[in-house]
Amino acid sequence: MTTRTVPASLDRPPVVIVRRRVPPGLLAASAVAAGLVFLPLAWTLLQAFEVTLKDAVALLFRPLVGELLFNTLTLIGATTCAAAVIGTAAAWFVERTRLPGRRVFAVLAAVPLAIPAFITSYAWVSISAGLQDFAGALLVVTSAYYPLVYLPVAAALRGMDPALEETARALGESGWGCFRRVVLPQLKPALLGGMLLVALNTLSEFGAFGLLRFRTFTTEIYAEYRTGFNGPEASLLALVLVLLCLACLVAEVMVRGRARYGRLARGTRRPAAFLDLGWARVPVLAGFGLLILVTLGIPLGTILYWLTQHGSAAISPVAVTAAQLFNSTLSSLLLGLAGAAVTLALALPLGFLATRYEGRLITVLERTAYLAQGMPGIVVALALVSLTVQALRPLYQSAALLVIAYAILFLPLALVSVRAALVQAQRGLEESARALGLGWMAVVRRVLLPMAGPGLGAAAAMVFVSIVTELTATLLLAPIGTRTLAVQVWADTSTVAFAAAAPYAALMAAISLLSTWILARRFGGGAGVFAS
Amino acid sequence: MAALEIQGLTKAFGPEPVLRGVDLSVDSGRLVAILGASGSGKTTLLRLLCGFETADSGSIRIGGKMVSGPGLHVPPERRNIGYVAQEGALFPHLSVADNIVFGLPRAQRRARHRVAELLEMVGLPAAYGVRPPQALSGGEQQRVAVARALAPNPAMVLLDEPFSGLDAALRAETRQAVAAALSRAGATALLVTHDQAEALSMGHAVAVLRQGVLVQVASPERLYRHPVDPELARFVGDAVLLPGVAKAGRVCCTLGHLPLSAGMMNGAAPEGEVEIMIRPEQIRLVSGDEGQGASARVSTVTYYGLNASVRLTLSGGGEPVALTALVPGHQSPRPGDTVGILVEGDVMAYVAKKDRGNA
Repeated sequence: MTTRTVPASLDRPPVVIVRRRVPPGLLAASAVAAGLVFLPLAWTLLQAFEVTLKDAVALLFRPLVGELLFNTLTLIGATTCAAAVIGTAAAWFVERTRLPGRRVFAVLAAVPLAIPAFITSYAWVSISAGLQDFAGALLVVTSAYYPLVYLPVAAALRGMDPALEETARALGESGWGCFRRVVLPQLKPALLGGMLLVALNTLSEFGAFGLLRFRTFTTEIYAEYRTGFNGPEASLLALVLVLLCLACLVAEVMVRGRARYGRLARGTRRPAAFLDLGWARVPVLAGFGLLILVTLGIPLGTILYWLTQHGSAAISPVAVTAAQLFNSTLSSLLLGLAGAAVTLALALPLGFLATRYEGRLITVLERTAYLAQGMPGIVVALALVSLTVQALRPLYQSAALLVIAYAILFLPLALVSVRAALVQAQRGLEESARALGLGWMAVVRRVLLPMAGPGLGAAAAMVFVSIVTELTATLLLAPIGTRTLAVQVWADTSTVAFAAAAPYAALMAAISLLSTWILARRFGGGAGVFAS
Repeated sequence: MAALEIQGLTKAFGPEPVLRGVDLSVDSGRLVAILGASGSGKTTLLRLLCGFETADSGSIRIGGKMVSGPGLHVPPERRNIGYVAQEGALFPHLSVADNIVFGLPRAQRRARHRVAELLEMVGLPAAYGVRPPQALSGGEQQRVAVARALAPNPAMVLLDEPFSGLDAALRAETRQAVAAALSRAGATALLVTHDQAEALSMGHAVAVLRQGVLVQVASPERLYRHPVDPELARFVGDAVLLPGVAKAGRVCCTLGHLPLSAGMMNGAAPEGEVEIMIRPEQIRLVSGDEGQGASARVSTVTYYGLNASVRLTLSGGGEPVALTALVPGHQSPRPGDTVGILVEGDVMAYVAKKDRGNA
C-alpha cells in the first residue's frame, strides 16, 4: 500500500489518496465492459483497412461524401447556433426574471428531450410533405435537442454567485453590459459543452433524418447497408462519422475540464435577485408560448390527431390490430428490461473500480467506456451485423446481440449515475462497517445497497427509457418478426401510413414521458436524467 | 461634509419590518462600522445603500447626491459606489489586473490604469496582476476586491462582512491591510459586520443596529465603556451585571462602593435602585485582606494562555452571586481558592428596566 500526496491549492489541506491492490475479478469484469465498447470501433477500423488506399481515396473523395459533409456540417452549424440562442435565452428568462409561470416553463423547456427526435419528425412529416430537407431537419433537430443547452446553462445560472453580478453593477455596468462581461463568460463552459452535445446528437441522429429524407452520413450508411451491404464502403463512411463524433466528444471533455472556473467563494449564497421585465413580459411570454407550441404542442397534438383518424384516412391505409399493438409493446418492454439489466451489470464493476481505486489502467478502462458516447447507433449496429455475419453466425439476428448493442450504446449513460451513486456511499462508511465486524457481503447488503440503491435504480430506469425509444440499432439488429414500437413507427411512416403509426408513437411517447417524469420527481430533474 | 446621509430609512419584506427608521450621517473620509447580530437588518441596510433593493421610505444621499427618496431609485451602476461582497466576488474569468480595472472606461482598462498603484495600496506585490484569482488566498482575494472597488474613485465604499469567510489568523492581517488602504485612499467607507472586535478595531465610529433601529452611534471606546443599555453592553463585550443602589455619583453593591462613570447619560446621574455593569477585565483578584470588602470563592478557571476567565461565587451574606473576572494568564488562581475582589475604574449604572424609558 503506497500513499501519495497530491499537491493542492493554497487554502486546502493536501488530499491523500491511498493506492490499494485491485481485486483481479473486479478488474476482469471491468475489462469485459470496456472491451465490449471498444469492439465495434475496432471492427469498423479493421473493415476500413481492408480497402486498398487507392480505393479508399476514390471512395472518400467523391461528390457524395462532399454532399454528405456539406449537409451534415451546415446542419450542425445551424442547429447548434439555434439551440444556443434558444436554450440560453430560455434559461436566462426562467432563472433571472420574474416571468409569470417561470416554474412551468422551466419544466416544459426540458420535456422535448423525453420525446425521441424521430417521433417529432414523424409528426411534422405527417402534417406536410413540404417540410423536408434542410428546413425540416433544422426544425426537428433544434426542437428536440435545444434542452441540451438549456439544462446546463440554467444550472450554471442557478449556481452562479449573485454577488458577481451585483459587484459588476456597483462598478457601473448596466444590465446588458453585466450580462456580456460577467454572466456570459461564466456560462461559457456550460454553453459550449451543451452546443457540442447538440452537435454530437445531430451527427448520430438517424431516424429523424430518414423520415425527413435529409441525407447525412447516418442515412447514407443505412442506405448502403440496405442496398448492397458493401461492408468496407459503409465502414469507410462510418469511420468518417465516428471521427467527427469523437472530435465533438473530445472537445466537450476539454471544454468541461479546462474551463472549470469554479466558484471562488465557499460560503452560503443568497438566491439571485430577479429582474422585473415590465412591458417586455408580453413578447417574452409569446416567445415561450411559440417555443412550447412548436416543440411539444404540434408533435404531441399531431399524434393525438392521427389517433382519432381511422386508418383509411391516411395516405396508405393500414389497419392496426390490438394483438399487433400488444406484441410491439411487449417486445419493447422486454428488450428494455433485459437491456437495462445487462447494462447495469456491466456498469457496476466499472463504476466501483473507478470510484474506489485509482491507477492508469483504471482511467483507460473508464475512458474507453465513455467512448461509446461518440459512437452513433448506426455504426455500432453495422459493426455488430458484419462481425456476427462473418465470425459469429449464431448470434446474428438474435435478441442477445440486440441487448449487447443496447449495453454498448447506453453504458456511458448508466456509468454516470452508477458512479454518482457509488461516490455517495463513501468508502469511509464501508470501512466503518468493516471495523464494526461486517464481512464484505454484509457490507454490500447493509451499507452499499441501501445508500447507492436509489441511484442504481435511476441508472437502470434511464437505460430502460433510452432503449424503449431507440430506433437505429433495433432496426438493424432486431430478430426477424420482432417489431418494437419504434420499428413499427418507422415502418408505417416510411410507407406513409401515418394513422397506423399513431398508436405506436403515442405509446412510446407516453412510456418515455411517464418514466422521465417519475425519474425527475424522485431524483430531481437534472441534466443527468436526459443526457445520452 | 457628510459623504453619506441617511434619513428615516425603512424597509419591510412582506409583513416583516426589517429596517424601522434609520438615520445616519457619515463624514467624508471616515470608516463607520455597522454592528449587528444576524437578522438585525444590517445587510439589508447595506443593500439599500448599494441600490440592490428599493427602500420603502426615507432618503439616502451619497456624496451630496440624492440616490434614494420618495419616487426616486437610482440603480447601483449610477450611484458611484464601491462594493466589496462577502467573499470578494472576484470575477473568476478575469486576471487580478482585469478585475481591478473592471469598472473603468475602456481606454483605461486597456492601459491597466493604476493597477500597480492599487495593488500596492492594498499591500500586494504588483506581480500579482497577471495571476488568476483562483491562485490567491482568501485574504488576498479580499484585498483585490477592495482595490477593484477603489479603482473608479467612488464617493464611498460599502463592505459587506468582508472578513467573515477568512481564518482567524488571516483575518487580523487582512483587516489591517484593508483599513490602511481605505485610509490611504481617503475613502469614506461603511463596513457591515457581526463581529464586535472587528467593529471596535476598524471603525472610526461604530453604529449598532438592533431589530432595524440604530441603538447607538459612538466612538469604539465610548460604545464599549458606556453602552446605552445592559443588552448592548452584553452585545459589544462580556459584562458583569449586578443590582445596586446609586447615590450621589457612587453606587453601592455586593462588591462595595464604586464610583459611577462620569460621562454617562448626559450628566444626569441616576439615583436609587439600578443595575450596574462592570467589564470582567475591571475585576482584579487580590489576596483576602487587600480587597474592598468583598471576597469570593473560585469555582472554575478557563485558561486561554494570554488571560484566564475565572468564575467566582461571592461568599458574602444573602444569596450567593456568580460573576466572571478576566485576569492575566500568569495570575490565574486555582479552583477552590478564596480571593479578595477589587474593581478598577468606574462603572455604568442603568435605572431598573420599568422606568428606563427616558434614558
